[in-house]
Amino acid sequence: MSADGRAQTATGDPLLRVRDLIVRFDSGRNVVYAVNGVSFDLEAGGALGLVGESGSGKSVTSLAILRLLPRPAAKIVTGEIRLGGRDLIRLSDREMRRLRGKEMSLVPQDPLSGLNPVLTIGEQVVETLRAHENMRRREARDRAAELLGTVGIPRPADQLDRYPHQFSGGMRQRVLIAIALALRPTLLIADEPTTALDVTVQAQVLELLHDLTAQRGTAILLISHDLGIMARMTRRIMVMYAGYVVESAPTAEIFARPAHPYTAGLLRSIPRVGDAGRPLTPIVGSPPESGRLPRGCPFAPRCAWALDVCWQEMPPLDPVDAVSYSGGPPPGGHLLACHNPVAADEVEGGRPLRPGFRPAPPPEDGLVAQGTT
Amino acid sequence: MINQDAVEQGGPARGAAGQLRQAPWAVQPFLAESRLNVLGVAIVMLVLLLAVFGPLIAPQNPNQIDLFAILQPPSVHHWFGTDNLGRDLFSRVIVGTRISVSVAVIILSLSVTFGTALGIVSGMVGGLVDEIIMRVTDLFLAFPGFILAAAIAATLGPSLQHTVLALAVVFWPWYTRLIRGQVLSLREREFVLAARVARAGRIWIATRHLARNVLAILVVQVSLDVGYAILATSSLSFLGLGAQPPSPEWGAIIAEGRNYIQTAWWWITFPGLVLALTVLGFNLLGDGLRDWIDPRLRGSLGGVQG
Repeated sequence: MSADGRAQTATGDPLLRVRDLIVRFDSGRNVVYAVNGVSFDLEAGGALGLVGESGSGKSVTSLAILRLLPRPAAKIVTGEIRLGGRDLIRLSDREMRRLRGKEMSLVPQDPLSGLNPVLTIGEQVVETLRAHENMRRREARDRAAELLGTVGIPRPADQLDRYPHQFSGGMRQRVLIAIALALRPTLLIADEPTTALDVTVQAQVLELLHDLTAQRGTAILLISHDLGIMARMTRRIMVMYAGYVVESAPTAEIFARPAHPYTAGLLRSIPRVGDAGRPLTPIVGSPPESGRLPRGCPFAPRCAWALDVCWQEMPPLDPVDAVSYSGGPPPGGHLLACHNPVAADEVEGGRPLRPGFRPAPPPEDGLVAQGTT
Repeated sequence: MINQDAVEQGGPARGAAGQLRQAPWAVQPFLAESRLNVLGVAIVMLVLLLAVFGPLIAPQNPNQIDLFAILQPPSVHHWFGTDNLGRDLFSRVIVGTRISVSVAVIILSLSVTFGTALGIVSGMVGGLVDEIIMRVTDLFLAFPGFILAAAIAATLGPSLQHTVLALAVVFWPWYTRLIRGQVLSLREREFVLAARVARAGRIWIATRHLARNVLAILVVQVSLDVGYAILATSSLSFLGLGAQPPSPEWGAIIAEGRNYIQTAWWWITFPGLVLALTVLGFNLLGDGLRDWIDPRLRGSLGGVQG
């Protein structure tokens, strides 16, 4: 089964292919579209970053890929998620379980609650190993110790019988990485893997994650709101806002030529050493509630570049260069969903430099809630 | 002192897990916490010892009738005096310990097993199943527990077995509610997500990840409830619904002795005292365990001395 999957990826198809994914949360009283038609590819061994504010749909996208959305509230409305050629949305729960851990796996956000406090470290690593491979307990324990060693835990064999609370946050995150990589998955999803860690430890853990995935050819989908981490870890960055992908480009390109006002805003809100004394430019306003989006582009209310059309219509995600590609966008391209992109000289200042330009005010009929009927 | 402990344990959940795990071979910190804990542990140990070795310790056969020594006041020969048939009350109370303790153990095993299983199902499955289970527990909890138990025991007919059954029926909904609440909060924790990513199925998560996490809170609740179960059994026996004479069950002894309250005060006083002390012991233990496991609750009864 897995051999089939790998054979197909070798023929040029991406390892992970997501198309027009729409995820809806339905709490009975109101309906929220958390992911609005997200499409992307991740090639085998690749590294894709998913950036966005809280609530932009990053984590929901990753849970959708793992098919672990909270039931019954969340539902994949439409879309296609293919891992190595198999359509994950169509797989049964049983087939899905066989895939998780083995083919794709997750490093959770919070190392404090990511490990079960009442089971030993060893039990938790062994559990993952034995869930997929027919292994003797003894053998699994040796493997577990070996794994803990590869993630840099000193004297791994002595640590197997210790409990999570006896480990520091960084060590726990290392254990979680060891568990996630235990079965050499082809895809690793890391959901803000270092947010809960000290800054000094963050760098070590990221380095480890980077080395291990590079060594094993594991593709990584890294979710974060920290562009600094992204710059180091990814080859391509996808910027999400209110469930939409608003910009997607190779990492260097995003940093050099951000074209979406939101991306430009994100970049300008990173403090840099050279900027000491200059005030940080935040993005004004707060992200919209997903339940009440404007009819047009969800970023329009906060956007200094807004045109009248922005209030009416969400622009499609198209290549920045006007050349039209047949058969979908090329993997290396710079994709953008914006009616009025940021020009190169406007990035630094953070506002449009065109004489007489003023952002278009909201239309008379006000904000039209989307999704709530 | 109090604050320092709270910081060291870093939070109730980890405190609970960490402490209970060490409990069997590290009772010293628990005893050092409060003198009430020492008292609780001492009483409970004594009661358990009597329950196990009672018949060996008792100076006489509890049902041995001695018509030459009826209604004797407490003396060197009969520490608790004798009843109207000349039976040694001290021996009867000691032998009765086994009945009370074993009855409590059976009641709690039944209600904890059933209640916990339903609680985990309710919390994990959610939706309609949860709704149905919760409404059923509401139905049971709507009645005053003791009245319900008395009604069930009376309907089934007076006997110790029926009392056990009746009390188990009264106790289980509390466990279902308790465990359901725990599961609802536990299942949102990331290790459950992590376990699911590692292919764990629902049953695996329920038995391995959730059940072991609720163990700490369960131990506390059980140790508190042992006292109540013993008291309730004795109360039902006192009303004639539980153990029947000549059983040396505490409630039954008191029931037989109540007509002699003016002539033989010792007959009901000593069994009553032992019953009260036993319940006190289990309550102190449970209270102490609860405070010890959840540092946020410290400062209540158990923490006064710390």
